[in-house]
Amino acid sequence: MNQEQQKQLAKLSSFVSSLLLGQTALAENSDGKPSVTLRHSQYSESNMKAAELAQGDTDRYDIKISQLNVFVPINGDWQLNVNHLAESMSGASPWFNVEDTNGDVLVAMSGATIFEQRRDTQVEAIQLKQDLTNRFLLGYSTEDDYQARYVKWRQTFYFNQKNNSLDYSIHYSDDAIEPTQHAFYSRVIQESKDTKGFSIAWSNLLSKVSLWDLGFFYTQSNGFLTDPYKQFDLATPLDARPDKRSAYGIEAGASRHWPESKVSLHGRYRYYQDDWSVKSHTLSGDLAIEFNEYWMITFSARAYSQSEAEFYQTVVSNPQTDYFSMDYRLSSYGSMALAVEARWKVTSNVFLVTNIQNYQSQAEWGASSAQTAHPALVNFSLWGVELEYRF
Amino acid sequence: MTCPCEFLLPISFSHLINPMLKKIEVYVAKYSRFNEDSLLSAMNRTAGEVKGCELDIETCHLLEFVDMAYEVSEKNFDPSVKALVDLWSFKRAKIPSDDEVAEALASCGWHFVRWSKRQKKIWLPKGFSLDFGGFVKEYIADQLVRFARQQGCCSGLINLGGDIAAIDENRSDSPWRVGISHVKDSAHPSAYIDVAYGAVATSGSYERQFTVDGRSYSHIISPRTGYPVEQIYQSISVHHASCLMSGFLATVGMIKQQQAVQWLTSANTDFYLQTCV
Repeated sequence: MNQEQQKQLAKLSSFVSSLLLGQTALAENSDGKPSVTLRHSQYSESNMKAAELAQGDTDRYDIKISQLNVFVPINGDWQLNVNHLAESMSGASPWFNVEDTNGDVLVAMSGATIFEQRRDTQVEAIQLKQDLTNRFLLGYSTEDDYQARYVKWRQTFYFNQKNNSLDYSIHYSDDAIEPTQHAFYSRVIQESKDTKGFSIAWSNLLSKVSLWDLGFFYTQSNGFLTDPYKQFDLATPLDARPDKRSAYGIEAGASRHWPESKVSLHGRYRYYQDDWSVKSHTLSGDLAIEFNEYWMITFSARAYSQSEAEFYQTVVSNPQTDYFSMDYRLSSYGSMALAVEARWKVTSNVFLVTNIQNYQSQAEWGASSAQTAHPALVNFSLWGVELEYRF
Repeated sequence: MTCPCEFLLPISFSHLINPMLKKIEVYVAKYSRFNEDSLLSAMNRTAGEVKGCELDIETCHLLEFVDMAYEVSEKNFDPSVKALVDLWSFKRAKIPSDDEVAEALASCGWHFVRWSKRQKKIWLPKGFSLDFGGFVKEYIADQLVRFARQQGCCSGLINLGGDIAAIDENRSDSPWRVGISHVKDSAHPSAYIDVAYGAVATSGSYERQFTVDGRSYSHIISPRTGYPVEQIYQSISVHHASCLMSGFLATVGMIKQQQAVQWLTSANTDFYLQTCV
């Protein structure tokens, strides 16, 4: 048997595997079928308490997200995945903190004047080979004050009869920032930043029902990383951050499936560290229960804890250092998110998915002891509904 | 199906036996050449007709498999050799003349068969007929394994006429010990293969052959020459991830005979050969 025949035989073997798994192009319930998915989600942040407000509006962000996904297999080796997202966002965001006469920290909100729309389009080409999957992704995202162009290449290499896989990726993003109302608030007129990084992960199938994986990632951002909307006026800078941020971390996960009870459990841990001294731990778990051929419910929980950035200050009154920020996202805090998702196979072609999520954050759950708790830590709820049609 | 069927399942999954038997009946009704109402018989009946025969999705997939298997086996795996199989039938037990062989050979050859996945149709040339006996039993075994797993069964064996597919390892997480029947004494295995996953399929000529003037003629016919293969091996058993692939590799190995070891070694699969003594 020559090399060409061996390749043909491997292709035949792969075809038979797909055939028996019901994944050939015409097979029922195939993952390789063309599909169209519509998704709508609504994200609502809890309002600020009036007693913690120095000025502005108590209403925080509400975001409506609509997504359209089209998946088309081109031929046996190539697939195309196109995703378009439209977001409309309204509400107020924390601007800066002040101390009242009692020494309590109050938040000045931006006023409920923000109304923004974001559009994001991604085109991903997927190449499926015998022991290799290539993913090439191009994306463009635009808002009133922001444009991002990004690209990602990811390759997964399977070996040892697909018992092991090595997954690696590189990505690059080029962002342009043009803040609105720059003249009134003495904000920057135009700035830019770029982000690049790579990841590598190894997965190991322990048995037909259990696997684990371990990965490492690195990202580096360069350019204007300061929040331009924190500026008050020229004489009162409220946010100044280094123009470089390097981050790395590790991620590990394990999954186990119990076929007799049709239950799957997935656990994941992520450690993150950057050169702004932010360190974080994320622990998450999913429990999926397949009740029958038509219904599946997944319960998810995620716990997160981070330390504050070295230049974070709860109140910046008279900055003496080069870098400072009052952004609650750079403070020490922790969060807990709980979610439920129900998946209903309505017919062999139609799938309906609904999900709800609740997210709570608190300074006491942070990885380092906070000087003073940031009063604007966010809590939010999210619900979504998704309709998928497979041709 | 005219072969013994055995299911080895945990007692808690004994309720799957009837649905599995029902599935076998459905496949037999669909692909048996002895059933006049089967889809296969409909295909054979419409040979030479311009309108062709309508197919379903599953059959299209099987024809895709045949297309690829025909190519990779260098035309040694061919379900269109029914005319030759009938001519050399061990029930007939008669050596046909060279002219008869040439005539039957003219009604064989998968490359003459036209079919369309898009239109879901097949057009057989006049005089052609198909026999899926070379792979459909193995395909059914795989489908039964798939069905059992979908129902949550994660241990057990399916045995369809000696082609054995594992649903998964046995309850003690150790592989199944599958015995390979001795060609002269089927009650006593000549070897054992440990099967933790996949399937073992055997292709052999010892059960269906006839002897004329002291010479044995196998029921395994070379689609290229039209004559029974010269036997070096009386049976070949192959262990692969699926029963369909195991059966295909074993069948082609039996046709290739002298090149069987090279074929199976290149296929990177576990195999067991029994020679003629």
